[in-house]
Amino acid sequence: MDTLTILFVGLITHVLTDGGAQRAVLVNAPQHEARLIVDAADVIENRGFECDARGGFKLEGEHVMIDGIPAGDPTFEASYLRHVPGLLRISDGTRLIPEIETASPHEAVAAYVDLGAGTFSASDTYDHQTTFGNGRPECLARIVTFRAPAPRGEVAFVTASGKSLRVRGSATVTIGNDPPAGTRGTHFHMYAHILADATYVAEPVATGSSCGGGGRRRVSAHDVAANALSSDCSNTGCCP
Amino acid sequence: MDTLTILFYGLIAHVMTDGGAQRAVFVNAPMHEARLIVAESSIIENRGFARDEQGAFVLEGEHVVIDGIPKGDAMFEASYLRNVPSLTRISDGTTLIPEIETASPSDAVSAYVDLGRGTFSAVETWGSQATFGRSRAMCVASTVAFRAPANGEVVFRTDSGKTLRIKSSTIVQLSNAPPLSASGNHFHMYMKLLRDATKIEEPVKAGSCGGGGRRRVTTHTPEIVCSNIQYP
Repeated sequence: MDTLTILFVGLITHVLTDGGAQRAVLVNAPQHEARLIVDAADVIENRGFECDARGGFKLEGEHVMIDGIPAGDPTFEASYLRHVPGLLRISDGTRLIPEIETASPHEAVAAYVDLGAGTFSASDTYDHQTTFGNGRPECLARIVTFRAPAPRGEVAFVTASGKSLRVRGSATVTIGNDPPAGTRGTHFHMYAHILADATYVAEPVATGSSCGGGGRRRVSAHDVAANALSSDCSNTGCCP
Repeated sequence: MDTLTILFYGLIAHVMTDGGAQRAVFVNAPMHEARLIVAESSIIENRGFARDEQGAFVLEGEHVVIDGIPKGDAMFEASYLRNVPSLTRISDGTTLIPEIETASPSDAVSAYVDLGRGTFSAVETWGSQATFGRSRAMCVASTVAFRAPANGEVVFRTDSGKTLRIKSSTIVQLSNAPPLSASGNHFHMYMKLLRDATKIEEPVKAGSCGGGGRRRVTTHTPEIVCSNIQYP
């Protein structure tokens, strides 16, 4: 049985909707680009997805669903709960904008990607611990991984607008919503756009402690430049 | 391969410690009794656990570990994330009392039970939706299940030297509930577990849990009484 692996990077919130969908919400933020990246060797057929100059498939404005993986609720490894901050915990918001429930267009959202019955984990964290406000220190996920069985040997990323991208069932796909390389600073405040009632979203503050070696560290750490804040664009989870 | 099933009821916080343990923390609260309940036919041997009048095993003061299930991180089904309130979300607290990290005795804790590599889910909710403060409505779990693979038998063992050997295909209930006649919300008692909390929101009824698209688990009585919680 093949396993599809999706790596999520950047300003993306993983939402359990009231209707039961597991939806990745890519935040519409300045300089951030919503992209699907997959090795050309794993692409079987592309119908309609536009590519950027680096070969990434553009997702802006799309609601993407995945055919070829089981429907249903996902499961979460402990690493996900440890390393992916809860959006309601780091803000004073209590609810998302209503468009997210129905995956409707909204200026705060660049794209939606609906998932299925797979497993989430945090496979890579930033190198330094951070705190949000007066919260306890945590190591933030740099990459969130979703793995799902692909029993047919291929999967198709299908949009509500009629595009489709067929890839091998064993492919590793990156779904990113990042700014250009070299951009500095944290971007968590941009998550406020997808909250209906938030007045602030706390930014992560580096504690000076490393994420390497502690008992709580279960995943690999990511090296960053010494002068850069160690957590710039991380996924969040919502809503519980 | 057998499956050990543990059903949690009452004032119990499921904590992922900094040290990597998945620890069930039983809150020490008036009238609440920390108990382990298992069918007589599933018991292989009991060495040292006292029993109450109903035959349940008394857990007060104990730190229990389970031999016979895999060690490692737990997994969490979506129902757990949906239906088990988060302590840091319904309070203004951010940090647990330090005794929980090391499973040390504390006036706030009646017992600890350390788990292993199994899967958490919410198997039943109260019949009414609830809000905590300004939060959106949620269906609160009345029963949290933990299932782990096991082979032949498992042993509940305490730091104090007691052991309870049972068949590994058993359903075990771990409860920290008041007598059946008690009513009312008890979430404020979770405050004891937090070092820096000044308030914990109590659940306020906000409609029914039956039928909505988000409902994945069976419902229980309408009252929201003693429910598990997760941290962070």
